[in-house]
Amino acid sequence: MADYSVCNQQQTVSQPGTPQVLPREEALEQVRRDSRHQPENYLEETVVPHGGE
Amino acid sequence: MATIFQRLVGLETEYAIRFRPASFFAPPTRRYQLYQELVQSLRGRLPVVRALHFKEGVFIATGGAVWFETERIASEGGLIEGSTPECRGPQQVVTWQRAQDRLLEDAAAAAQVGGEFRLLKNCRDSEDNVYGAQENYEATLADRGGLLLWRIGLVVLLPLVLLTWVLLMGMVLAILLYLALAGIACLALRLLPMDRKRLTITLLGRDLAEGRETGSPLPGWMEWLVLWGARLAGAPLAIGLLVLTHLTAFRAIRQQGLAFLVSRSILGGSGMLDSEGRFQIAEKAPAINCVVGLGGYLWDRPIFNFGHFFKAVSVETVLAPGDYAGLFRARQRLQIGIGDSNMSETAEYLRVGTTLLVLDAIEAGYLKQAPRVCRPIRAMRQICLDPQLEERVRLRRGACWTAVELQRDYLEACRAFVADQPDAPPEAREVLRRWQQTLDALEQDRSLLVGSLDWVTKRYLIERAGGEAAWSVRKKIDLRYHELSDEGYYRIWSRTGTTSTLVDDADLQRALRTPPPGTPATTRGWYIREFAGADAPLFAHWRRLVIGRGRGAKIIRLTRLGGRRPSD
Repeated sequence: MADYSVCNQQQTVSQPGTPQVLPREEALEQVRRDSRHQPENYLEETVVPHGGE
Repeated sequence: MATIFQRLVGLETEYAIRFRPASFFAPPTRRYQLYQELVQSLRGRLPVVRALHFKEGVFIATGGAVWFETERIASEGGLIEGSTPECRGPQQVVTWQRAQDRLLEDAAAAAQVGGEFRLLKNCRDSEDNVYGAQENYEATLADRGGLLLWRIGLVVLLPLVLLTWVLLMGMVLAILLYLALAGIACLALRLLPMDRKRLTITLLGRDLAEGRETGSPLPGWMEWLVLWGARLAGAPLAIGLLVLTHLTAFRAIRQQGLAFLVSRSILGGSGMLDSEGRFQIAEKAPAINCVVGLGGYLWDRPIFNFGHFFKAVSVETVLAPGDYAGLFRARQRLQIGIGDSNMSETAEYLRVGTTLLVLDAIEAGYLKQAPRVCRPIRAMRQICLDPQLEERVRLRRGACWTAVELQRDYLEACRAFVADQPDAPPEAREVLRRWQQTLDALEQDRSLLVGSLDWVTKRYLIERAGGEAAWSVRKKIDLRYHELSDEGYYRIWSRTGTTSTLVDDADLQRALRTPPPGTPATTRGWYIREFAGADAPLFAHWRRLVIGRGRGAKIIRLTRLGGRRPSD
């Protein structure tokens, strides 16, 4: 696994309309939790039959 | 004096559709229906007019367009495609691309479709179907000798063009004849006591059977036949055009810019988890199978896509024969098919900005000594499979360079080019600065790029949030990273404040309503705003606008600087 331990730069503001900064561990936890919720369904729902032709 | 960032540039983005009906018992919703509702939702936000084009689409007041992209609609294919208006310079492109993403996201969310309708700005699904992004740059097709050869070739190809038109028109007549006969057969079948609906759909297609526009004007089996028939009818012309483009089109750019594009994924790649569980730094690049091609017509997936030339000569000039003359011009559209769709504005800015600089430097003669890669397709795949960026690819001089070394070579050539231009815009230096900064970080401390480069950010999320989870969990992180909604993972990560934002809210608000200045889109957008909903209908195209129908229609031609020239 790559070392991301020093990844703590705060560059600029995030998307407009987002009122406050989310701690990164919380963001990771949101992704972790959601990604484990019915992943097969998500993969199936996002299939593009025949691709871009 | 060379010019910098003066060429027209535009991005095409195919968005995957994700639809979840509100009720399990709801009838299936077709992709075309979703597209129609999306357009309806767009109409509530800004002026929209129908596209004058062979595929289904609309132009919007920003000068860009939205299309329903598919060849096999009866087989449930189809994506939403957005085309930015013509822009100049990377900041403009990123701004109008961001506005397009926002418009489509909001329109999908508000569409009346009885379920959750989301778009994904990615390039490859979980079954390895590939779609996604195309970049269009205005560029010089060839120098004097090459241009003369190109023009002679276009004249020589004319009989094949005419043959293709005749064959395609013959196909249309045969289809109409078949539908008439099938219609009579269906009427006769009404006399029989049987379930006729399925048979009618099989014989006539869903549109005619249901008496409404479902997006399936032909039966599914016939769609397949028509697709193959059209390919066969156009094959001689396609082969002839491919030979001509190989010999003449954008040769300097292909030779001097190829190593740049082969290694560019380290800046603009979106990354993906492949079916074997390996992380690759780009989605589209590993699927590329040739340097030059017609974009799928001959089962090719090229770096330099000349499919638009084929569409122009085989179909578009049927609608407007005068457009054939436009192909004789020295400045043409260069289409690059290797790039990924980006969620990160920095990655998008780098992808477009560095490419624009390299094209300017090539046309100014600053890259004649550019490195040449042996076996470029293989080299590109090697680079994509190595997130550590240690893989070396062989050059024709005999040396072996990493992707970062290749990029540094181009960076230095572009730096020398910009330094020699006293009127270089500040944005050129900004691109150089970000390019250098990114390459430094890729070599020294990649963690600084989490939130800036898509592939680095996605890899971080997959490793940190996916860990040792099953492939499907990690693949969901890969895919949902690209979802245009507050639940999309890039969007979630952006709330940590570590993603760099280049487009401020005021510029975004302007780009949501108006076209970029000084391009054909300026005029197109103005007419759309003035004439959408007027009594005389307006139809829009990339090169012209048509007001009204029939003989009384007024045609406005769009010039590259955006001026308007009423022609009749």
